[in-house]
Amino acid sequence: MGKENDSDNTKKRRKSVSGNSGMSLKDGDTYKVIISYEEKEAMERLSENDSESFLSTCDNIRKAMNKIAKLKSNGDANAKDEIHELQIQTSLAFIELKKLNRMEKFRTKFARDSLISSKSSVDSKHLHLQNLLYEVMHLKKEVVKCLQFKSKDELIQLVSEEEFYKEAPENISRPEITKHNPHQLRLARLEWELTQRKQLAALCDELTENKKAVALSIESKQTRLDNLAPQLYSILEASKPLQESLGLLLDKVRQEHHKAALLASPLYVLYAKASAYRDAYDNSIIVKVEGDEEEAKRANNQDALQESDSDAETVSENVIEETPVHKKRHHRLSREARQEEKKTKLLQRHPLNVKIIIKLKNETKLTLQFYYMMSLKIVTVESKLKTDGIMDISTGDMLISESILRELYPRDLGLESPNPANYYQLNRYNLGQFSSLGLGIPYKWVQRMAGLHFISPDAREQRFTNGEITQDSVECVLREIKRRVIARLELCTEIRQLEYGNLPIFTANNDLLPQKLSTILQKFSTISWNNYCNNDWYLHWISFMRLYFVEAIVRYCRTIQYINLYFINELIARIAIKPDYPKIAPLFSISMSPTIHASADILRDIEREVNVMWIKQPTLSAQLQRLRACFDIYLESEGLVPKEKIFFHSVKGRTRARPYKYLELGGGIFIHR
Amino acid sequence: MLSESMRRKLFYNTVMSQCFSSDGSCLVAGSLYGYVAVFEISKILRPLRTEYESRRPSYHIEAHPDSHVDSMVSTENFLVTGSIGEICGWDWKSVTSSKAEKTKASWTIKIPSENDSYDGAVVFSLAYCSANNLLYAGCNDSKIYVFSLEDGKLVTTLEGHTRFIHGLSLLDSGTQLASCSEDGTVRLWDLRKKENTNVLTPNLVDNIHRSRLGEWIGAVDFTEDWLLCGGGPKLSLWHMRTMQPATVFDLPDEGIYVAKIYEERIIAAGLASHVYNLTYQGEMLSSIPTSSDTTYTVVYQETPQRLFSIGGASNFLDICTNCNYRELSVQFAP
Repeated sequence: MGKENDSDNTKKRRKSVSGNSGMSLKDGDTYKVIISYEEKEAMERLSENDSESFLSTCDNIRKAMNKIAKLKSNGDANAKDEIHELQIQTSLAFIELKKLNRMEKFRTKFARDSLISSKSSVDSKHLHLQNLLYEVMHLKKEVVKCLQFKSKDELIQLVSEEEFYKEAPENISRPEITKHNPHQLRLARLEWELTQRKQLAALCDELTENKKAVALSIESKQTRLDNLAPQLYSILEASKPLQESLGLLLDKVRQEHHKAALLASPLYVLYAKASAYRDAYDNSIIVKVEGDEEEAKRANNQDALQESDSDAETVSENVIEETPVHKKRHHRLSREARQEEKKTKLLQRHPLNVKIIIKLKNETKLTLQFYYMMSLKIVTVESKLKTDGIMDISTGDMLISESILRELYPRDLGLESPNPANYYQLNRYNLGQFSSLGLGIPYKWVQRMAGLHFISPDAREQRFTNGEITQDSVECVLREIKRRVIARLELCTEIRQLEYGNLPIFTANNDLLPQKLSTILQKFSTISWNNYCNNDWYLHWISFMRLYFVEAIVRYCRTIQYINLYFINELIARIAIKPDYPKIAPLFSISMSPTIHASADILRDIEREVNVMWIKQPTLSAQLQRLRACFDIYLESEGLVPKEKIFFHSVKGRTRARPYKYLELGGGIFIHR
Repeated sequence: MLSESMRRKLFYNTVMSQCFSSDGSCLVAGSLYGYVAVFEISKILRPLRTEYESRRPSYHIEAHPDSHVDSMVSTENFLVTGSIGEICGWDWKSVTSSKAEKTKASWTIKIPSENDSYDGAVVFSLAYCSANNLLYAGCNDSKIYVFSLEDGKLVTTLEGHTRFIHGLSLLDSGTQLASCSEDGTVRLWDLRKKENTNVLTPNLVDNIHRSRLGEWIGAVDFTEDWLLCGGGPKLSLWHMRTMQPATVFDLPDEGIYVAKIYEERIIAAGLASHVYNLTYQGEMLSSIPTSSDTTYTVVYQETPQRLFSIGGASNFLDICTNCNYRELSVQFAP
């Protein structure tokens, strides 16, 4: 059967070869033709059939080989042909195998090609799909953008729809269209808005014109009025000789009053009260208004303006402060300049001030100048004392007017502003304490004189001053000042006398003082606060009431022989004199030279004797006199110097006190308290 | 608000004497300016409500105007104060009641004085014996007067000292009295025989005397076995039987004004900024800082409230509830 197939095949092949030979000849390439033919053939044949023919061919080959092998082994001569025949068949069978192999190869190649082509088509389709999707997405984005677009007209506030239909003319509102078409409605409303605005602008222009015209007419009237003034002045001028001849001071008083009217209200109160006091009691006092009138007018006007728009200002100020300082340097500079301007504004005084001159004996007079701080809303005072006498250096700051007025009333040092709000105002511009600004001194009594009342942060003080408020009229204050100045002048002469070593002789008094003493005043000098503080054990007492400090050194000195060079009995007293002297006695704090072993108790006893044990407030000299007596007694009772005074016992009582109390009996005796 | 001069006066105030009321509920103190302050103990021990508040006496009595309240002692019914030329008795009931400020003295005993009118007899020290109701008053004129409180009559006068009496101390049994004086001696008196039995002169003992401070003896206290004294000379403990010094205390003081024997311990104070608490052997148990530079009086009680009070050259009393530290200070006067 295989043979038949083979033959069939070969026949066919030949046919096909011959069939195509014409073409191939034409091409000149038989090989290609053959290949294409075989490809075609391979496609037509079924692979199953081929595999069957392959197996049968192989079988045939095997059988033929076996036969050949058998024949050869028989060594039969006939067999040679048969063998030859078999060899030919076998070779043909091999050719058949080869053919089959080629067919298979072609098929495989074809299958592969078809796979590749279908794959590439899938790829291209996929790519196309992707492109389409991307396009979709882009379009969507565009849509969103379009939707989000905001038109300018949305910001314009329009009149409501009803109002629009009611007011707009038909040709603009066109209700037949716009009722149904919201877009058209919108357009129509916008148009209406535009026409309305145009109308208003026109109206505005017209009004401005009117205003200008009115202003012009006002101006012309003003000039007419101004022209009147010189005429009036000339009339006034002409009336002066008449006034003088009639002895009327109308003009002067009127001028002064006119000026006073321009004063800030607290100063006006002060001026009014003070001039009333002058007229009523004391003609030696001079009350004046000083300063630039024109400026005062301007300041008063500004003041009124400021008050009206102060709110707006604070708002804008806040805005300015909030803007960050980051851009340029000159920006900052201007900011600083602005700050500086504000500062000066805060510390501005009213241009007019009240001057009160208090004349004391001879040429001594005290000038008080009262100023009003426009922003801080307090009154300050500047004072000047003019004395006729020689100003001794040693009197130091005793006669400096500030120190004279300090603590005119208890706790009134004038270091801080009495207006509690000022603390914050000053702090805002880092201005520190009020006293450091050199704007005069804001004593509390000054505020009260000017009718200003502030709440004191110290409740105790509040209670304290309330009791006094009844006597707090200008009258009392002026009297108090006068009294204080006189007392201070007296103190000055007293201290000067003491510095020269002159101890005044005492006449009979409530407190008796011995006259014959051995202790002398060795040295009397002014010392500084710091020196005074040195090893001082009751500092807390005086810290806020200090005024003036002196140091007195007294030395026991009877005859020359007792001033042994190695053994000087000396006592040093540090004396604090309060502003209220002689109302409050000076305070002595003493120490003794180390050669005397005096215990703290001894010093305390002497101090008590000198500081406290008086019936009436003593003077500085009286205290010094007693101090000298005490020192004498102490030294004598201690046996350090010969006894000279009359006393019965040197010590008495558990405290071992000395007889410091003096009695004028016989030659004067000393007893214990 | 106090005036400036009043504040100054109070700054130099000195608390001269103290005692407790008979029921132990009040502490009473007398000052150099003649005032007596009454403190209710329960009130001063109460915590302060605010920072500004200060502890003050409940009542203030102007007991001896223009004089001092140099000494005081407490009896069953009366507060007895000693001043210049007189001894006054004040009823405890009125002194510790709200009417205290207007109270007048219940009785007064005048001290017989010599002609020397400017230097009247001042009572510097008082001692009271409840067993026989006798009051002993150590005075300025170097004498010790013994008064019977039954009738206020002078029973006897103990004479012997040559300078004024600084302090007295009575034995619990009431049989013996010790007195110390400016003259530098300590005298022991037998009260039954009314005579001077012993004289001690600490100044003559080498390691006791301090010539710089003088010979005066500022305080004395004694028991059956021991006698404690000090002043210008150092504080010293003497044996009663041999009359020899047993311990000499080396304290940083400039003079002793207070010396007491209390529960087998010694309390001493004076011109020093502390009150010292010592054993018999001289060992320091504690030292309590004081408000004043000089302490003139220390009193203590056990019941109903254990309390120590220290007074001296300042306007403050220092109060301890324990003898180791200062608990609080009270103002004598506002």
